Amino acid sequence: MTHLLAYLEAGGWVMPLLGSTLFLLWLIIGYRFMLLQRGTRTEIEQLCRQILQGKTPRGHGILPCTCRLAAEIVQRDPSRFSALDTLFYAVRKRLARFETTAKALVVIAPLLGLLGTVSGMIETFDSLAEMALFRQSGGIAGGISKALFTTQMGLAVAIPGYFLLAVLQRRRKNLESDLLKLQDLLHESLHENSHA
Amino acid sequence: MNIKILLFAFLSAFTSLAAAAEPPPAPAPAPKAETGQKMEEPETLEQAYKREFAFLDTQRRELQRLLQTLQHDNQRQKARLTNQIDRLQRQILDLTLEAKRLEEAILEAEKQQQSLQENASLLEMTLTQAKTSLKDAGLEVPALEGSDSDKLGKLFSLARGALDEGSRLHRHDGHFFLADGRAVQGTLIFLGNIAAYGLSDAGSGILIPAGNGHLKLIDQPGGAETAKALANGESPSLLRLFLFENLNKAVELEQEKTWKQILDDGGPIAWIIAALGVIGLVLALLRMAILTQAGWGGKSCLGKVVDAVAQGNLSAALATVEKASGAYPAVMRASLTHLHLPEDEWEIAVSDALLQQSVRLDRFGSLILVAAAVAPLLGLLGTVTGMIATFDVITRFGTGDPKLLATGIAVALITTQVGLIVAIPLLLLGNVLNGWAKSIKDNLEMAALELRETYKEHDSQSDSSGGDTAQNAAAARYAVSGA
Repeated sequence: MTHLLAYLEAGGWVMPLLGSTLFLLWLIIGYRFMLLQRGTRTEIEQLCRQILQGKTPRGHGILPCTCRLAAEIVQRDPSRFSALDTLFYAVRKRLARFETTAKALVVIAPLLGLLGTVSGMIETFDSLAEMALFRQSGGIAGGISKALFTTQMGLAVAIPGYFLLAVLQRRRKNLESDLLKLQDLLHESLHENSHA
Repeated sequence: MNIKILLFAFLSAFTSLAAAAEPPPAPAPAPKAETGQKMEEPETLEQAYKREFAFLDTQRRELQRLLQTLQHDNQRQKARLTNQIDRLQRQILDLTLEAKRLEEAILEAEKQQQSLQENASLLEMTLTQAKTSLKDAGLEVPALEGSDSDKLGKLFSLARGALDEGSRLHRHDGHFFLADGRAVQGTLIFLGNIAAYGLSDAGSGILIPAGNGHLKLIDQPGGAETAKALANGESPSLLRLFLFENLNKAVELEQEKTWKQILDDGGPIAWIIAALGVIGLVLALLRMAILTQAGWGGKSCLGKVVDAVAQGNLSAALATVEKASGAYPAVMRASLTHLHLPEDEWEIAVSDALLQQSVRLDRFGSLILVAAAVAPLLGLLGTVTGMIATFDVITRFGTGDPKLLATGIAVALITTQVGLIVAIPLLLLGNVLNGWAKSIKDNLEMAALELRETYKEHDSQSDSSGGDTAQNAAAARYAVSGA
């Protein structure tokens, strides 16, 4: 704990900002990992059949929840496609929640690190101009350590965040394509049933 | 030797042949023994040959013996020389090793000498520094004698004395100047080495340095009381004083730089970036206001309208929409007025309304992000400008004085800093606001869809008595608000 505090103090005034950026980013990443769960291993075609028969899969996750709601709508009135469209639209919209914010945070973290770097360098050159090379606090070494600590922290926040966000984005795209496929299949089968 | 013998044999043969032909004109130089035996030639020739052979054989043996002794000598000599060479090589090896060892020793010694020199110069520097510090405190340091530790000990004791002196009150008689410039005799009370008070019949109070070791009275309320209290040996609860470093110099307090001074240090580019930041912030606030206004009361209005439509009361719904203002009612109006049309026409009408709204919702959106992108670039421009200034200074004055370089470098770094300070919040704000606008647009679309759902629900209900309106509307809304 004291180590952590010392580390935070070593970076100067940018460090709290970086710390909060880190916290927010990981909060969002955790939330999105919870959100973007398929919830079932069942194939899409089978899910469509289950919806039509009214036997919906159990469990949490995007696909089971969507299937249950879709089954409700289909049970009530099989001819109302627009309600289904509305449902799928709403679910797809939910998938992209907080994504832009997380991306912005990942962009900002290295910039904050750079800001800390520049502040540290300014401190260094100030002490050069005052010729106070070896002050107890700050001075050349203090400024440079500040500069390097913040850069390090900024990169440490940004790089894993960047990778995890890429993973999450791929998951979202997969889920979206799954949902679209399910929607199309439902539409087709409902059409056939109504014509039959 | 052999050649002589051959020549002799040849000559003797030739003379015998010549004697058979004619008497020689001149006697050949031959040994007398042979010329005497010329009468019995075949016998004597064989004998001569034999003799010659024996003679030659002994010669050969002699020579072989000689050769053997010579070879023997040679071998002995060779062995002796090889031994000598080996011995010398061993000596050389020993000597090179010795040389290496000595070189290492020399290096070690040099290093030691260097470190000793460094230590000595450091000590010298410390001593000079101590002397100047003590001189500033008003103490003359006598010439120091003795070993280094003695010198240091003496200096430390002097410094201790100076510190003790500096933390005590001491008083002595002297003269100081009054505020109007007259010199008066009086008592001077020194508070260590940082403040002074003067007491005299003409006036008392706080003294400030007036240069050249003189002191001058200043008019400050409460100064005289403090001076008198100190003179009487009391310790007043409130000590009014004017701090000075020594009798020639007041204390200079390092001033915290205001943001304005920092921007001035950064030059015009820093001001431009700051202005850009202010503009971006204003735009962001405007955008926030627009979005808040657009989304204001939309949900409650939507609830009312959906309820009205669910009961089949379209006119009431339209009246509710007309009364309200904002983005939701506009889209809902488009949705309501086209409900009776077929689906594709309804979609066209609603997307038109959405497009109109999104123009308003997207206002300043890209502009804020552009400002956020331009600010660090401007910072970089400032950096380059500052660096150019720095190198100008270097070409003119060299790198001797870091103070000369500091201004250019300050410009370089401050513009970068200001650029980042502007860019980071604008980036965050711009992205968050864009997300907000997108969610509002999505919600508008959902609202239009929900109205149509409710309307169809109502229609199908009036056609066939079946289903559950309230439940259906609830399901639709559940989908809208997110499962």
